[in-house]
Amino acid sequence: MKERPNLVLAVVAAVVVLLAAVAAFLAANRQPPDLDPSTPEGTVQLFVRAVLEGDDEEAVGYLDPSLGCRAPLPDLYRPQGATITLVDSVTRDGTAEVTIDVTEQAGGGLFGSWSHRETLRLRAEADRWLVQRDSWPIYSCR
Amino acid sequence: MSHVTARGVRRFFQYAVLYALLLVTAIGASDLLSRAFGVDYEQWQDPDALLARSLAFVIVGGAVSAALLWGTRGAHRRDPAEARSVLFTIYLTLAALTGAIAFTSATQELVSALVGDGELRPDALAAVLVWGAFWLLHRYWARRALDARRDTPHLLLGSLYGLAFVAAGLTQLLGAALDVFLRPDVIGHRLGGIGTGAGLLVAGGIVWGVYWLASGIRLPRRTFWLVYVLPFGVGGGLVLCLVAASRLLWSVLVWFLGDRLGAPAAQHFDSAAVEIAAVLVGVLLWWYHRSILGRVGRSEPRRTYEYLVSGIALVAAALGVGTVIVALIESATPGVDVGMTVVNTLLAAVTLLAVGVPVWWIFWRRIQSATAADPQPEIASLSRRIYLVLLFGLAAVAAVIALISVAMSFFGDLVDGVLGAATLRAMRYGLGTIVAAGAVAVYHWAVFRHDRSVAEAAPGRTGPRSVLLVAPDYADGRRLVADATGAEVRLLPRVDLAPSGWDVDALVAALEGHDGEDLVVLVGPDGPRVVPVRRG
Repeated sequence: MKERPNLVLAVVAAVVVLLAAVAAFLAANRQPPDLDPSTPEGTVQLFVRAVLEGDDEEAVGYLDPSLGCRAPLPDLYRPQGATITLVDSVTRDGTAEVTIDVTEQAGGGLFGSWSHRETLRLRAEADRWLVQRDSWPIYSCR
Repeated sequence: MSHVTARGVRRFFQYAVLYALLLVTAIGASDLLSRAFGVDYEQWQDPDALLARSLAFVIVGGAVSAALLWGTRGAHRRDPAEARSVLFTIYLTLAALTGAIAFTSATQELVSALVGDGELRPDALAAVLVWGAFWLLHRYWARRALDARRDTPHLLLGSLYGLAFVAAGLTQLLGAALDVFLRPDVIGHRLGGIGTGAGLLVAGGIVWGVYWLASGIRLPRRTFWLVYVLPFGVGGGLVLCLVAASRLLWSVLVWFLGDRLGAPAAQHFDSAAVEIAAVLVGVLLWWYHRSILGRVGRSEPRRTYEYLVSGIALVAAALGVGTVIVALIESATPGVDVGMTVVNTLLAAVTLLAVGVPVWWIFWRRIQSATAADPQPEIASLSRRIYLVLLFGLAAVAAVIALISVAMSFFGDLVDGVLGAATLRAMRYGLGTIVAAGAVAVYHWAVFRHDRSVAEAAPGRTGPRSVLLVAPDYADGRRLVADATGAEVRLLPRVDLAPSGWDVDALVAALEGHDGEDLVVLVGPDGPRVVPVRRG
């Protein structure tokens, strides 16, 4: 009868170790998704990644020229690290609305991440999409 | 004091006014003394107006306070009840602690300026002298006027305050010194950090020494004293140690295995020195307060200590389990990672488990082997019962809150029609909490069930539940009856009969057949009379 709690403990510990191993495996083999610039969701993710990585030339390339943005981009807040997850993408006529979930890591700390949802609007032009109005992370170029 | 009287109101005003006036006098005296020491005034300060204010404070405040003090002394001498009043105790406690706080603040400024910038600040010096006097005079008055029981909150609060400063100061001092050693090339006013640490340490050390080393450590080991030593002394040290160790281990793991976000070593490990210092200070606090408990056998304070340490470590371990789930969800859901990898989260989980599980296991195993060796007292002990109930309660609360947040995310996305991988990702902290709470609850439920079965298997108790003996004073007799029957026995000595030994065996025989009852036994010249009563 004394073994009962110990058995439960052993099971719980085994499950935790198993889940941690699975997480480690998935994390090590994590591939970035293929981003297609001819789709609105691909454009948005490529655009945000370019901004966060400091690649201003590429980022401006995804913007609507009427916004008047040129590289280098004005001083804006770039988090040190972030993960972008696609939530939703709605295309209607020649415009699209893409919602993404941005999880930012604030510096070095065990628990320092916070998430927010952003919606970007694009319009179609020829065979690509351009990010339209001012929104995260570039609010205004002027 | 259970009702408001005119006397109570008078006392309230008397002590409130005395407190305020003494404060005002001290402020004025401090200003005057710093002027005497040659302090430089800032451009925006008006020295003459300050002088006028200080003089007014000292002269008026000082005169009226002196009169009030003289009156209070007279009142105390005339009526001893004055010295025993609650308001007087509150006044002394408040005044002494206010003095201690002002004293530590000034001492910290003085020492850190001395060590950090090499300058002697006259205003800080003046404040140290004035507030030090204010503090110590009230402390001395409290020691003379209050007995140990009334003085206990004062002593323990002062000890706690001093201890916090000592811990902070030692951590800061060690950390800054270690930092100079580990990162010699960093630009900055290195001596400043050392100075601040030294200031905190000296200030806190004096207060802690006066309150704890001189008096607090010798207080009787009752509830309040244990509440200070265990949760604050031991618990505080342990929490400090675990938190710092987690942060340190995580930064090391991320450096070697995770994503450093491109920071050089000097930047990534910028808080490492302080964290190492914090671990050492935490262990020191833990060890010191543990050793104060002394060589206690398997007693309730010892049990409380072990459950406390297990509980704190269990929290860390549970956080680790939850973070494993968070890491699992993060690595399973697709997304674009810019400069941040999900490996860091997994490393955080590993860190928490590595820090929490060993400590928990060591202490929990001690508890469980003591329970196996002698089940009845362990299972019945108050600490264990509170521990289990508290765990279930906290797990339940955490799980409910997490469940609500998970439901909010789920239904929010359901209504917007965007249910998907991102939803799962948004729910990760909630799901992690639920799983962790579940794991804790499941294991401790098994422990609880096991406890129940062991308790029920024990031989039933025969004999009365409680016995109130009204008998001639015979303390050994009380003990003998208690040992023979296993009941709760209390002795109310009769004053109409001389203290003498009475027949214990006859009394125990008379108690036969009253199993589980509450009894009053009147012992007189013609033998014991047993009366069953209803308690409560």
